[in-house]
Parts: sequence; structure tokens; C-alpha cells
Amino acid sequence: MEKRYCVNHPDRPASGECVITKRPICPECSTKYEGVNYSKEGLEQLKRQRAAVASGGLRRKAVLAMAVGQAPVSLFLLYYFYLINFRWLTGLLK
Amino acid sequence: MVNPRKTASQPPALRPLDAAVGFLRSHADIALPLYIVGVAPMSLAMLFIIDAVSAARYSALSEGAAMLALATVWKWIFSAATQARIQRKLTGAQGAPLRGRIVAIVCVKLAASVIMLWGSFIVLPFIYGFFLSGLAAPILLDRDGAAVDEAEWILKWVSGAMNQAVKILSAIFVLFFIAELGFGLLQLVVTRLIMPSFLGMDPTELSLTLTSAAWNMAIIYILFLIFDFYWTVASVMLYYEIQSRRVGVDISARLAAMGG
Repeated sequence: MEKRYCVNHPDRPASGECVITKRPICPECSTKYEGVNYSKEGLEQLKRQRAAVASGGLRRKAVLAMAVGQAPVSLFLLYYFYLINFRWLTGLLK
Repeated sequence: MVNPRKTASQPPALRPLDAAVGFLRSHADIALPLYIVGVAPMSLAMLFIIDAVSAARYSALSEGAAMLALATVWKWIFSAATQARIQRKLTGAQGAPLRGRIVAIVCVKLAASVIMLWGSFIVLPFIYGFFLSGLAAPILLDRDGAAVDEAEWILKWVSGAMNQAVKILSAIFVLFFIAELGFGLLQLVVTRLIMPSFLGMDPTELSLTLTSAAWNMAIIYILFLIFDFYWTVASVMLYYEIQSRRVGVDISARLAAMGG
């Protein structure tokens, strides 16, 4: 099996690879997080991914709250539309 | 019976409308009973309003409008059930259970009604609400996505296929106008020709009724029911056709296979 070397330290043998970037890294460049090895770049990518998911989830919740919240307002607007139209029709043709 | 050769030569934009006619001619029994249950409370609310208008009880209009708004929501539930039945018949697939999706469908239809009725004040034109309302049930019963995402998909589809959407909407409006005109002409023939000449009846007493707001409201409501039922069916056909472009099935071939 071919021996792999750290992407940041070409003279040092790699102890594993980053789960995100898939690049070989030595123990010094490796950070264990949630039981998995990450490189510095990998950790930054993970941070960006999680932030995007969090903001997406927040957006989804906000949109969902708006969608449900609009129901009573829309029902009132439907009622009001009928009312002004009936008043207009009867007023016009009276 | 839908003639595949005829539908193939038609502009594709109006094929769902033709398919809806074909479906109704052979399978009206699938759609009509549920739709009638749906519009029954709405018709009662309209009767109440027409009665109030003809008796000049204008103070009862707000009560009638509230009843009509609630009856509209009831109608949406049964329109969705009607569309679910048509969709099951058309695709042969079971689809998502209506009970689990009905709240989402009603929420989308409420939003669509705001766009349709007040759209010109909130940027989105009427056409978006029209298609959002029609396609809400077919899409939400067919896909697993969140209602918000599916509603967004419909709005994007309308933007992307604006040419087809405008053609369909225009065709429905033109048909509605022709129906209204036809009804007016029929009324004229009956009151000016048939009643005095053939039945020996004096129609002058009717003129007060025929020019009243209550009569006009009743006529518009009956025409609305006919066209709403038609659009309920046609929007399922439209969704099927949109899907067919993706999955490669032909709506007229499917209707022919169903014996329509």
C-alpha cells in the first residue's frame, strides 16, 4: 500500500484523512471533533455547512409560521371581499 | 371520447382544457357527487344573500358574507377531495391521504384567494392565485414536499410557463363571457319571443326581476359553479400534463386507455 504524507507537511506521514476534504493529514493537522478527524479547512467547511443548514431551517420555520399565520387574515380578506362586492352590487343596481 | 389525432394537432397549451372535457364526458360521476356536496353550503349561503338582497335587507349582507366565506373553505375541502379522486383515477396511484394534507391545501388556497382577490394590491397578479388555487391539491397530494416549497414551485411554474398560463386563463374567461352572453340571449328570446308569442304570457312583470341585483347575482353564481367545476377537473389535467412532460406519458393516451 502506498504511503501517504500530510498535505501540509510533506515530510510527515499522514495518520488519516479529513472526512470533509478527503486529504491526508498528520496528527498535528488533525482535530478530533464529534469522534471524527478534520483538517483546518474541513472544520471551516463544516462550520459553513452547519450555519447554512441552521439559517435554512430558521427560514423554513419563519415561512411556515407566515403560511399558517396568513390563514385567518386571508379568511377575513375573503369575507371582506364578498362583503364589499355585495354592497357594491346592491348599491349599483338598487 | 377524446380523439388523440385531434388533441395532438391542437395547441399544447389548451390540451388540459380539452382533456377535462373528455374526462367529464365519460367520468363525470367520479367528480360530480363530491363537488355537489362541497358547493351545497355555498349555495345555501348564496340563497340567503340573494333573499336578503331581493328583500332589501342589506344589514344581513355581512352575515351572509361571513357564511359564504366559511362555505368557500368547505367547498375547497371537497374540491380537493374531488381532485384527489380524479387524480387516483387518472394515475392509478393512491397518492398521499387527503386527511394528512388538507390543512396545507386549505392554507395554500387561502393564500391563493388573497392573491386572486387582492393581488393587484400586493404585487402578485391574479393569474398566480388562479393557478395556485387550482394546482394546490393535485401537487400536495402527489408530492411529499412542504406546502410552502410546493406553492413556490407552482408560482415558479406560472412564471416559467406564462405563455401557456395566459392562454388557459384567457380561454376560460372567453368561455365564461360566451356563456354569460348566451344566457342573456336566451333570456331575451324567452321573454321577448317565446313567452308573448307562443305561450301568450305577458313578460312585463318579469322585467323588474330580470334587471334586479338578486337575479344577476344568481346568474353569475350559477355560471361560476359550472366554470369552477370545470376548472377543478381541468387543473388536475394540467398538473398531469406538466408531470407527463417529465415522466413521458401522454394525457390523451391515458384518457383513451381509461375509455374517455
